[in-house]
Amino acid sequence: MEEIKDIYNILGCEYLDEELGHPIHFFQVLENEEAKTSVNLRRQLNQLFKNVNISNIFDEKDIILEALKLSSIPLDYLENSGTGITLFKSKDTMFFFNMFLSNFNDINLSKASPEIKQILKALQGVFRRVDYQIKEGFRSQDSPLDVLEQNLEILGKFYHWQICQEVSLRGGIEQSTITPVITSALLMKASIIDNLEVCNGNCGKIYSEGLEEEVISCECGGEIVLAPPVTRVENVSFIYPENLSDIAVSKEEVSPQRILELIQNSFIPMRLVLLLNQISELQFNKKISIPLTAHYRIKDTNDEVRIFFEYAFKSKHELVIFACITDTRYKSSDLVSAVSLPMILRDVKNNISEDFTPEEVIRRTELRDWKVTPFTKTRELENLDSLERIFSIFGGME
Amino acid sequence: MTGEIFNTEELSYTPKDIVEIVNDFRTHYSNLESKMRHFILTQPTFLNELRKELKTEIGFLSPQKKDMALAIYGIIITDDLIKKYKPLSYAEDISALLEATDKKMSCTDDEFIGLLASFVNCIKAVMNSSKHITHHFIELSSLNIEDNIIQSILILRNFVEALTEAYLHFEVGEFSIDLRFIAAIFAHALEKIIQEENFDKIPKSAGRIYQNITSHYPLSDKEEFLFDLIHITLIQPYYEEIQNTFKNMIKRRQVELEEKYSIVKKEYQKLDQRKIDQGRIEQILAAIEQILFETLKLQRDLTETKRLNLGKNIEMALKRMAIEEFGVQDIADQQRYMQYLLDTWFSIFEEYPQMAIPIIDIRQYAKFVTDPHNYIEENKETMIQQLQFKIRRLTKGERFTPNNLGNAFAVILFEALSNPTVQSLSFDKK
Repeated sequence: MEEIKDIYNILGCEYLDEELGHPIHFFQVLENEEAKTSVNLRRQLNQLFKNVNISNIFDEKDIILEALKLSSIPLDYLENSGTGITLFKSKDTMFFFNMFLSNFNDINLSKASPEIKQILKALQGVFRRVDYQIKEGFRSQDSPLDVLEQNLEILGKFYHWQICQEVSLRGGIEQSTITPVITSALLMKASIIDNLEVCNGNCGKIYSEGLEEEVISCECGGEIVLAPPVTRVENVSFIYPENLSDIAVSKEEVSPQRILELIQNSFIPMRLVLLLNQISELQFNKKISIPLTAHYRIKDTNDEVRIFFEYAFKSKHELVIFACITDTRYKSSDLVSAVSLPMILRDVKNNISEDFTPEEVIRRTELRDWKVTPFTKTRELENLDSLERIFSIFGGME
Repeated sequence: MTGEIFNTEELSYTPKDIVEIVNDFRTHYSNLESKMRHFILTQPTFLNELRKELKTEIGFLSPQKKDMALAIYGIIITDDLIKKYKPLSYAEDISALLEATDKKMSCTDDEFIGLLASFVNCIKAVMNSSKHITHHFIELSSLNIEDNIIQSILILRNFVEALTEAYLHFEVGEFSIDLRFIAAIFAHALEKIIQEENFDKIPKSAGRIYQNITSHYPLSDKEEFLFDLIHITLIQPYYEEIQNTFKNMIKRRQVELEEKYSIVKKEYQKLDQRKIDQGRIEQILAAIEQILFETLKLQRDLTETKRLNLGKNIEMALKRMAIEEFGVQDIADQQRYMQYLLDTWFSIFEEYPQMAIPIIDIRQYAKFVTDPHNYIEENKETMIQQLQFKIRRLTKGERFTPNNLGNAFAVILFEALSNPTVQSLSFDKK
């Protein structure tokens, strides 16, 4: 049995060098509970992300992902409770991201997110001050990188200490300024693809499964290796209140496409996993990451959208995921308060049987009055702009 | 290690409520204005002399504002608003203050008074919060936490809050002020705190520090600079110095915490409020226990050095208790010190009832010896009066300070200890 015993806390920062016109990165990697700085990993990360725009790896528009908690489970040992991956990001004139890989999974997202924002704010202050000093000729060096790295080290160590030693950023209840409501839910059948191959070199090209001839090296000269397993959502069933499109902020907001997009953004971006997988120490290989909680912020209003997940493996290649979307923008008596969430998640998990239908599962939860569509293939959703359409075409339970 | 029994999250600075700051400004502003007018009329000699002394330093002010500024200095001194404030420092501060605000020279007289009212409130707030933060600093240093992390806690959980609070003192008067000026006041406060322990260090005025900061720190217009500004102007220059200044206190606290930790480790008990109060008294008891034990149980000799040390130890214990309870070592409520001491006396009597002999009525001696604990319980009020009387006499009727109380306590204790009757009696359970 393979297990990550160690803790890796990766803090990465990206800013655009105006003169050079390309992004500059700097990293801090802390290992174990004692916050040992890993110089080796930091060097590898710098090398890996040299030509990558990290902020572009995350696919988002006006709903910004801020924090994500995942469970990482080795495919050879599904009963394992899994290790934790927690991902935070924040953006201003700089982009900041943090990935915490550890054997514990109780980081409190709503406590740690502000901490990440504080780190970013502090770094921006440092950056602007040093940048000004360089431009005005008060400083001899031509890049603020050294000073930024020193400050990231101080801030990163404190952040790490708050998680591992003080434990102030772990446990507790995830708090929200106002109690949100559940707006919709999704049941998904996903398959696990574990035979993808990928170029380990600069191009990072993904080779699709079932290559006919054995290719050993990529066109770019890189080695071809096995990619970490990925999940592919194949069938979806939507669960929603009858008049959702009337309550919704906009019709577009509750389109099947949009909801699915939100769910898919709650996985670690494939590109990031592939890149990090090249650092063998981090052991992404043969491990599948499933989201547990995702926190989003509405870009303009600071409203919160949070998604809570529950999952069950049906086999080494098949996975059922249930997702509940909560939103602070909605107010309606037809919606269910997020207070009932833990119960709903538990009921769903208990009712996923060998061959279940979405109707059966949902009927035994507090969402029983909502509409439930049968499982629909994701590629058939492309042409359907509303949940009602799915319901009317495929039929479902009221 | 010791961190496990200590909640480090509590070592954060809690700023004053905005409403309180607004009220502070309002009352202070109107007070200051009337007092100032009164001062100008009644104290011409004082003002004239001060004007001569600071002729060049405040030459940039118009004659009208010069009077106002000098009168306000007079009020600061007579009302003891800011401790040990030199005229020259004041002049330097005022000059920097005007540079640091958006008002510069164009401000009206009313605005000028408002600005000075904000300034006085701000300095007072900074002196207060700096003491809290220094206390947090000492606590954190005694917890064996890495320096980098202590620095981050000081910046992000203490100074950022305190600087924001200090800034508000200007904002409520509708003045915008350079954050670097606020940082300079904090630097000045830290230098003053260092001076309290180490008299050779002469603190620079906030005004002078401000000139120095502006010469090497170029920007300060946004909140995002707070971390960097504090790091560069307050942590880098003073961190080691403060740690060195309070080296002994930190060591003592370390020992104390280790002891506490070993007790907690041995038997975990739920603490009730009485025991927490008891903990305070035990701080003084810890300071005197050894002497009592040596003299009364081991029959060792008393020396003058022992008495001096005892006085010092009690002084430190009193200061620390005041800091723990109120965040400052000089508390206005003098009776509070007395209460600490009286509580301590009665804890001493619990273990060594013979110590009460010098203050009991000699006619009641027989009654006392048969059941000392019961006797003490019954005559508590009279004994308190006796003790208070003795302490007052020894402090010569002056204002109570940890220093003179510590010495007085030591003298009374030694008087009792050198009493032959006290030495000859023992109430140890056989």
